[in-house]
Amino acid sequence: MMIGETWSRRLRFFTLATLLLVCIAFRVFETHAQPQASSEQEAGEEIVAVYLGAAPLTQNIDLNRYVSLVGTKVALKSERSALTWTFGVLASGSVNAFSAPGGYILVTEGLLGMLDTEDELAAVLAHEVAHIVRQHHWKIIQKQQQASELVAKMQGNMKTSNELFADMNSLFSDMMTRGLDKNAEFEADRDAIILAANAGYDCTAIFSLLTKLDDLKGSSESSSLIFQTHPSPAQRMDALSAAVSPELDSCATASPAAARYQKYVKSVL
Amino acid sequence: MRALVWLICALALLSGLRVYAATVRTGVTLLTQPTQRSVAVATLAKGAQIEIMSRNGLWSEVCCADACGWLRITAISRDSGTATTKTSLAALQTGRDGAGNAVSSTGVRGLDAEAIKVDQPDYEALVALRQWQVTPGQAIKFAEEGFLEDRSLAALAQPVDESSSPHQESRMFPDPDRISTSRPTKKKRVEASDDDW
Repeated sequence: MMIGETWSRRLRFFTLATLLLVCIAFRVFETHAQPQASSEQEAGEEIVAVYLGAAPLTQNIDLNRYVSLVGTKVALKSERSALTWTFGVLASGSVNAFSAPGGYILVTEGLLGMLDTEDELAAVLAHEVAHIVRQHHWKIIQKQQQASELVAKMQGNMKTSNELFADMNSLFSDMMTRGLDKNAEFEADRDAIILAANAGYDCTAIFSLLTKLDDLKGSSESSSLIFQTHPSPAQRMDALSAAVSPELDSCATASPAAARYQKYVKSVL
Repeated sequence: MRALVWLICALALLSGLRVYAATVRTGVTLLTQPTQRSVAVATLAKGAQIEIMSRNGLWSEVCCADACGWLRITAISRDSGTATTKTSLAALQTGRDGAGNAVSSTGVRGLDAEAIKVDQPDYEALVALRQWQVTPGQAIKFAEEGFLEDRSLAALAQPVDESSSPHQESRMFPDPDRISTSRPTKKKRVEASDDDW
């Protein structure tokens, strides 16, 4: 009897201890379950989902397909041609283009309406491809993740999963609404020239693109996100002018495909 | 004939031809054509005020107080000032970059910072987006239909007067013989002269 009671008590104690350990382990697991991006792809998907929440995709499938075909061709000339590249057109009249880690690029109908040639479209997409290849956004996200974890450790407590999620969302929205540092934009512009050229397009179309953006100053688009997130078109053109080389003479001409833009975009927007 | 000139000027005024204020980075020679082999029109000192009329590849047609001609775009620094409307017979004779059609957010709320911060993510649309991916083969075929021809140009180096970018570790282009190194060599910037290019 005595032995039975002892074993019964031990069993109850063991059961309770096990339950307690399970609860602690679950809590620890929950706080370590990284709701922030554990991969570049996931970060990109989160960012793109936010953009898609702000503006819907175009209903014009052919238009989206055209942008995908041009953009994918440009991306194939980069170091990350093996990525699965995804291009989308947003049904928004504002002039904007976005990239997100993992190979996601969005442009607005407003931007497409501003352009006139496939060369200019290629220049826009090449700029966004360059951001992804150089991992401009992803590196910022990674640094922020590391900083958040370090701060949490120094504070001696782990943030809840909701707090970590809020941290990342805040980082994403800041990055999306304030943009990258100007050197990253200048770098993407330089890369865009070569990417577009190597895909067969006019390597100087980026200048006419930037001129058109410059034209928007004073219009209702002057406060558009694209101006908040990039250096001024004049600064960008100056930076490019300082970087171009004589070799670009060979690609400084409209491509044979330039006029296709009329058929695939201008006639439908 | 005089009536025709006045008519052209009136049309130009109504059309609002746009030119862009800029300055010259260094002493350069204005040329009659967008080629180094053309005739000199005038010599411009560093800092000279010009107006950009049009662009042709890596050349821009510009006008100063006394003359119009062509310069390499590397010789030009664009002001942060505004585009101005100007009419002149010289302007009428040149082509245009394309004045651009200013797009306004009509009616529908534009894609702005507020929308990004407030609206909820749309994961269903993300799924829908993926169906519009194309394969590399499809993209290449479409390029061939447009008679696009691949090139193998080397990466552009970062200009000397740009501060270092933290993102230079990533390789950009796949050709190992021609891509820039992870830290591009900073070329010593040479002031452009008449003999350049």
